[in-house]
Amino acid sequence: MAEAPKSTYSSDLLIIGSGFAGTFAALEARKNGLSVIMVDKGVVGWSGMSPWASDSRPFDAEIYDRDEWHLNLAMNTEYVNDRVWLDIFMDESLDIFYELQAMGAHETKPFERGTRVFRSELEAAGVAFVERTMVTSLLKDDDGRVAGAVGFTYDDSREASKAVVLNAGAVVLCTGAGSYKSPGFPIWGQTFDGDAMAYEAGATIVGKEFHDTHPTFAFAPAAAYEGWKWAQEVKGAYVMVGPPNKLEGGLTLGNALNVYQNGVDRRLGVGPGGEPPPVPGAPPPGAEERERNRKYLGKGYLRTPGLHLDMGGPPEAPSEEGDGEKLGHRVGGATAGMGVHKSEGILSSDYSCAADGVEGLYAAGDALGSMLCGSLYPGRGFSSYGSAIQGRRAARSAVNFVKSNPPPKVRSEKIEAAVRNMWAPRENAEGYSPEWLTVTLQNTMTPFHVLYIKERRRLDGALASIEFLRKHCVPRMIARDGHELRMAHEVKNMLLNAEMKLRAGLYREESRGTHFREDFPVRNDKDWFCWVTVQQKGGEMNMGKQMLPEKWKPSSSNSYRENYPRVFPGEDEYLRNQRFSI
Amino acid sequence: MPIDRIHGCIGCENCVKACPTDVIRMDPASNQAFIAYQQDCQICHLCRLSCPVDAITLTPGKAMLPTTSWG
Ligand SMILES: Cc1cc2nc3c(=O)[nH]c(=O)nc-3n(C[C@H](O)[C@H](O)[C@H](O)COP(=O)(O)OP(=O)(O)OC[C@H]3O[C@@H](n4cnc5c(N)ncnc54)[C@H](O)[C@@H]3O)c2cc1C
Ligand code: SF4
Ligand code: SF4
Repeated sequence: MAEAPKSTYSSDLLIIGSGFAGTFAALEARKNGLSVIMVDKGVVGWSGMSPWASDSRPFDAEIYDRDEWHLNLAMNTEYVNDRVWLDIFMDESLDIFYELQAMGAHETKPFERGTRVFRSELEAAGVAFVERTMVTSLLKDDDGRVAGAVGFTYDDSREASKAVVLNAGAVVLCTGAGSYKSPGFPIWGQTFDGDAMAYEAGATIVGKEFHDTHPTFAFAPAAAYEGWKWAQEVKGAYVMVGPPNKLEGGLTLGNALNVYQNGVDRRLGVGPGGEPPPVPGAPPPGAEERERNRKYLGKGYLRTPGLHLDMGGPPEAPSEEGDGEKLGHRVGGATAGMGVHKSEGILSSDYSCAADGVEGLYAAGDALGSMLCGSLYPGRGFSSYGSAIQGRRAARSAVNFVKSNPPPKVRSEKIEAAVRNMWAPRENAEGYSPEWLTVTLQNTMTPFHVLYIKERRRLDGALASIEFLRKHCVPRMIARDGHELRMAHEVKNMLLNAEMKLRAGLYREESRGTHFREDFPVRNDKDWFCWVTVQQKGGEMNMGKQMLPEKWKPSSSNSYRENYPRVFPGEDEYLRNQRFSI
Repeated sequence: MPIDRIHGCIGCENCVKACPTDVIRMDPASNQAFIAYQQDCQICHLCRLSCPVDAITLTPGKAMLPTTSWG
């Protein structure tokens, strides 16, 4: 093939992704005088999960009790949440609230916030945009320092796709999360690309054994917008009133356990929903919580005019008549493949947002494995503000790094090799289409008895398939145009994530939060009070444990059931048999 | 069906920019938006919400791609 066209850019700092994390990172870096390029697969302001976030839960020391937040969050997320990140969240979330207010972000609908507010703030600050460009790999200098990235423009309707080379003094990955493009959640633009690029560069990844469990609708499972229009059609900031709950309100494994125990309704093609039928005469779900939270009203930042105050309880669902009837009841699995918000991703053990073991590389937001939310998302309100806080923090660390190191230099042979690799699927005349690979990945990974209800032999079986797809099919992918080339890189990254998820699921021989093993249906604090890490060593995927501080463990003066009130299927029986003491 | 129809486009390109999954492209000849990769539509409605003349029609259902042994 003739040499493809190429554009080259240089900046002090390269930020990949333009959601809450990327925006706050870029603004902070500009404030500190660095030149910043923001590159995005989509268009700044539109792309990522950020156009969907509505609820926030800033911590205000004037009205809330820090210890109560710690206690509740630890219990809800089953103690493997990072308490230092929670302190950082509590220290900084109110600043973010007021900063967003000053920008005017509280006066838009969620999907308009990016285009009307973030984009103009970034433009005014002098951030340069490189858009509709999918980044595929990081560049390193000869000392192993990350020094930029390469990508390509996929829209070839008016001109041929071109390679994009981005040289920079450091890189911040704000690439968001991912899923297996499962029906019912607007996240198909993110495919764990940040994890994949960082993993290839030698970073450590965490949180892959845990799951997000957002639901969709039984009769129209792909209708992603319908579940969120209640927020998208209303202007203004939603704020959760009260501290996070100890037990209720979390995105638990309930839906999947329900299907496991009660079966799949074949008429619907999907399982029963996670919400129990209403009990006649009983108060509506969340009534107690809403009552409890009344005491915070009119205090602290909750006095801010124009806020939509969310008193707690289950999120608003479509009404029974109208949409509710057409769309059917809620069923799980809308986000198959996605981990827990703020938990899965690139590990930064020292809280600086610098990727462990890779110089010049930083991560923030959904791309960072901060474990803020441990093994399950403890109710709404942490994710978008968490991304903003981490974005700003990553930029501060990166600014220091760039200012104290001379600009790196990447040899041109390295750039050429990265570009060749990127174009490879275009060179294959025959092979596997990325579309087929995507469907095959979905069929392998998303059945409930593989992804959510785990057992060693089933995980091994799926792993054998995924390994085959990665080793045999990925190098033989074909891409006939720019769109297919993007799909090819996306499915490559989703398959890598699938292998991580299966291996992490196999490795953690206990159950906790959203990680359930039929063959180990019990929490085991003795051996598994840790995060499971994934790292590439000598071309192999290596699993490891990062043990957590003793003082984060649940109280030894409580009974097991007091510390872990949620019961896994088979757990009580397992405990009675006392196969080991916990 | 996901994104179904674009009718009455005035060529502003908003929907092309808004679509997170590159479903919509501009036709250089007519300078109108067209549905190029319908199978990748995630039914998020961002295109419709961005359109100044309400030219885009969506439906909530989605035909699943058939799984074949290879292809
Ligand atoms: C339906 C829905 C409802 C939600 N509700 C809430 C809520 O009420 N409250 C809350 O706090 N949070 C909520 N969230 C979560 C919240 O939106 C996210 O956690 C947050 O927006 C993540 O921000 P981010 O900047 O880390 O990543 P994102 O906003 O996802 O941004 C990632 C960016 O990286 C870009 N990118 C990815 N890969 C590449 C690549 N290879 N090359 C170039 N660019 C790339 C993407 O295009 C995107 O712009 C919700 C999410 C969804 C989807
Ligand atoms: S609904 Fe969403 S995914 Fe589908 S074409 Fe519109 S913007 Fe793209
Ligand atoms: S947003 Fe509407 S008017 Fe603009 S290009 Fe798309 S369809 Fe045409």
